Amino acid sequence: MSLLVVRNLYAYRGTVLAVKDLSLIVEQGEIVALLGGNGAGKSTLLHTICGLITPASGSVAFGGQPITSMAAYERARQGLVLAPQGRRIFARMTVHENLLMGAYGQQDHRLIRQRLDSVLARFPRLGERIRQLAGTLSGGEQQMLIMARALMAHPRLLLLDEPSLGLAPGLTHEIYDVIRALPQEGITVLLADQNTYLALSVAGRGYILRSGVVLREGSAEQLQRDTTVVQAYLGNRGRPD
Amino acid sequence: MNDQPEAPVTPRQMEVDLLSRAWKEFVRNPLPVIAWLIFLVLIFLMLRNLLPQGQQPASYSPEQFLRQLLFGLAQGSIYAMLALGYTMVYSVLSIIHFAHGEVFMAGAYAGFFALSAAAQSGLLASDPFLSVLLTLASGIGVAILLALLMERFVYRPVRESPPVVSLIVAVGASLVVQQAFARLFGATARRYPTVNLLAFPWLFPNFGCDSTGADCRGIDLISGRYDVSFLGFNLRLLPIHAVVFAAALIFMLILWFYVARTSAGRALRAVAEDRAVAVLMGVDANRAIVRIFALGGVLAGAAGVLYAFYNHQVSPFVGFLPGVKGLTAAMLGGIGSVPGAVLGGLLLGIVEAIVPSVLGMSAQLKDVLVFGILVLVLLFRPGGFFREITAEKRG
Ligand SMILES: Nc1ncnc2c1ncn2[C@@H]1O[C@H](COP(=O)(O)OP(=O)(O)O)[C@@H](O)[C@H]1O
Ligand SMILES: [Mg+2]
Repeated sequence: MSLLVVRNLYAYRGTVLAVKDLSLIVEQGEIVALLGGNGAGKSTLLHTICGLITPASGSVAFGGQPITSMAAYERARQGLVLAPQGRRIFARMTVHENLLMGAYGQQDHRLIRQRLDSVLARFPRLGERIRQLAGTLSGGEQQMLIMARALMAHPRLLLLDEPSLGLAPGLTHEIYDVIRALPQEGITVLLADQNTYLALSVAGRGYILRSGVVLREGSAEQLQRDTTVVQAYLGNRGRPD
Repeated sequence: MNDQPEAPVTPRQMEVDLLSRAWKEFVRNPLPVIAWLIFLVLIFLMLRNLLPQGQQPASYSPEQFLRQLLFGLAQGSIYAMLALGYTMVYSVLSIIHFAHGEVFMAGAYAGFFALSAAAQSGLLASDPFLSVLLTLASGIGVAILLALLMERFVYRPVRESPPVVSLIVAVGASLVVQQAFARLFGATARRYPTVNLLAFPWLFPNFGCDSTGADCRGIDLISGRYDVSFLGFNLRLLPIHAVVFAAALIFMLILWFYVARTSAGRALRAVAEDRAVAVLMGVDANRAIVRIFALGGVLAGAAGVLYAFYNHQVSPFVGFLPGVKGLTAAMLGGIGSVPGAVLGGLLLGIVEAIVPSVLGMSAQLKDVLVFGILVLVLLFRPGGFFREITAEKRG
C-alpha cells in the first residue's frame, strides 16, 4: 500500500489552473523529488496535498485512507506535515515556542522533550538561540527552524517546499544532510526544489513538473542522465553549484 | 479603421473615476473616513455643549485629584478589560469587533437577573459573597454565549469579505442586540439591587460596627462609602473602586497566563500570526477563533457586572459608551497589542476622570474628550501610542 496516492488532481491558485490532471505516488520510506522551475505548480500541489487548497477535482489518499475532503489540521494530526516555502516562522514567538508548535497536539511531555533534544542535536544553532524571538533569526536559521518545527511532529510524510531557497551553499548542504537521513527514522519525504541536482542527490525517484503537468517521471539516475530535459526545462539551476 | 483618438476624458467620467477610487480606498481602509465622521459629530457636540454653559471651574483640590484618580483607575480597568477583547479579536481576524459593547451589556443584564433573583430568594442577605459570585458567573456565562453566537452568525459568514463589510455587519448586530434587549426587558434603566458585602473585619476593625460597637463586621466592599482622613487629605473612599481594579487585574493575569504560558494559548498566538501555518501544525483555526471570542466574552461579561456594581443600573444601551471607549483604549495602545490594551484602558480611564475638571470642562464633555482622543489616534497614530514602550513587533 502506497503512503500517498494522488490521482488526476486539478487545483486552482486564485484563478490560475496551476495543477492539471496530476497523478503521483509516494511509497513508505522514500524520498521523492518534485522538480520544475518557478511557477511549475510545485507549491500548489503540496498545498493541495496537505489541504490548504481544495482541489477542483481528483483525489488524495494518505496511508490508504481517502483524505480529499479532510480538514488541513486533521491531516497534520494524521502525520501529513508541510514545511512551507519562504520564511513562514512565527516571528513573535521564541525559537522554543516555534518548536513546541510543531509538536502541537502531542500530550506526552517526555516525548516532546525527546524530540526537542533530537531536533536541536541536528540543528545546534537553533539550540544556541532557543530563547530568542524567531523573527530575529537570520534567513538561514529561519529555514532551519521551519525544518526543525516540522520534524517536531515526527510526521509520517514530510512535504518540503524549497528548503534550500536563498541559502548559502554551506547551509544548503547542512539541511540536505538532515533530509537524507530522514527515511531511516521512518519519515518519508516529498521534496520540492528548483535545484534539480541537489534534490536528485538525495531522492530515489522524481517527477518533473511544468505548467502544472508531469512532464517526466523516473528514478533519480534516469532523470539525472536525462540532461536534455534538465537543460531544456530547468535551465542552469540543473547544474551542480 | 479604428484609428480614432480615444474619447477625451469628460469631467463626468473623472468624477466617476474619483468616486470609484474613493470607494475602493474606503473598502480597503475605512478608518480615516470613520475618524472624520466622528470628528464632525464631536465638533457639533462641542458647540452644543459649550454655548449655554457659563460655569467657572471651582478651585481644584488635591483631594479631588486623588478621588478622581481612584475612580479613573476603576473605570480604566473596565476599559482595559474591554480593550483586550477588541485587541484579541483584531489580532486573529483583523476586524473591529464593534458589537463587543453589547456583549458587555448582556453580561451586565444577566448579572442583574441573577442578583435580583438572589435578592428575592433571600440569598443576597444570607450569603452576599456567594450572590456576588453567582452574579459574576451568570454575567460571564451569558456574555460568552452572546459572543459565540456573534462569532458564528455575524462574523464567520463575512470572514473572507473586506474589513468594511464585517464592520457594517457588526454595527448592525449591535443595534439588533440593543433593540432585542429593549423589547424583551424594557428600554428603561433598571436599578441593580444594593449589595452589602461586608468583609475583612480583622483588617478594618472600625468599620461596619453596630451601635453598641460590639459586632464589627468589616468593610462594605460593594456599597460602602467611607470618609477617611489620610496624611491630611480628607478622602471619600469607595471600596468598590479598589475591588473593580483588583478583579480586573486578576482576570487579566489569568488571561495572560493562558495566552503566554499554555499550549492552547500558544496555538491562539500562532493563529493570530499566520493562520495557514498554524493549521499546518494541526491547530483547528475555527476552534481557536471561537476561543478568542469566548475569552473576550469572559472579560466583557465580568466587566459588565463590575461596572453595574458601581454604576448601580443597567439598560439595553449601557454597552455603547464603554464599548467605544474600550475600542479607543485598544487603538490608543495599538490594536493587536495586549499590553497596549491594558495601558490604553487605564490611561483612558484616568484621563477621562481627571482632565475635564482640571481644564474646567463640563463633566458632560468627558465623552467628547474620549472621542477626540479616538479621532486623533485614528488620524495620526493608527498604530497606537505605546508601540515603542510595549515593543511589540507587528505585521
Ligand atoms: N498567490 C497566488 N495567486 C495567484 N496565482 C498564483 C499565486 N501563487 C502562485 N500563483 C500561480 O500559480 C502557478 C503555480 O505556482 P506555484 O505552485 O507557486 O509554483 P512553484 O511552487 O512550482 O513555483 C503559477 O502560474 C503562479 O503564477
Ligand atoms: Mg513554490
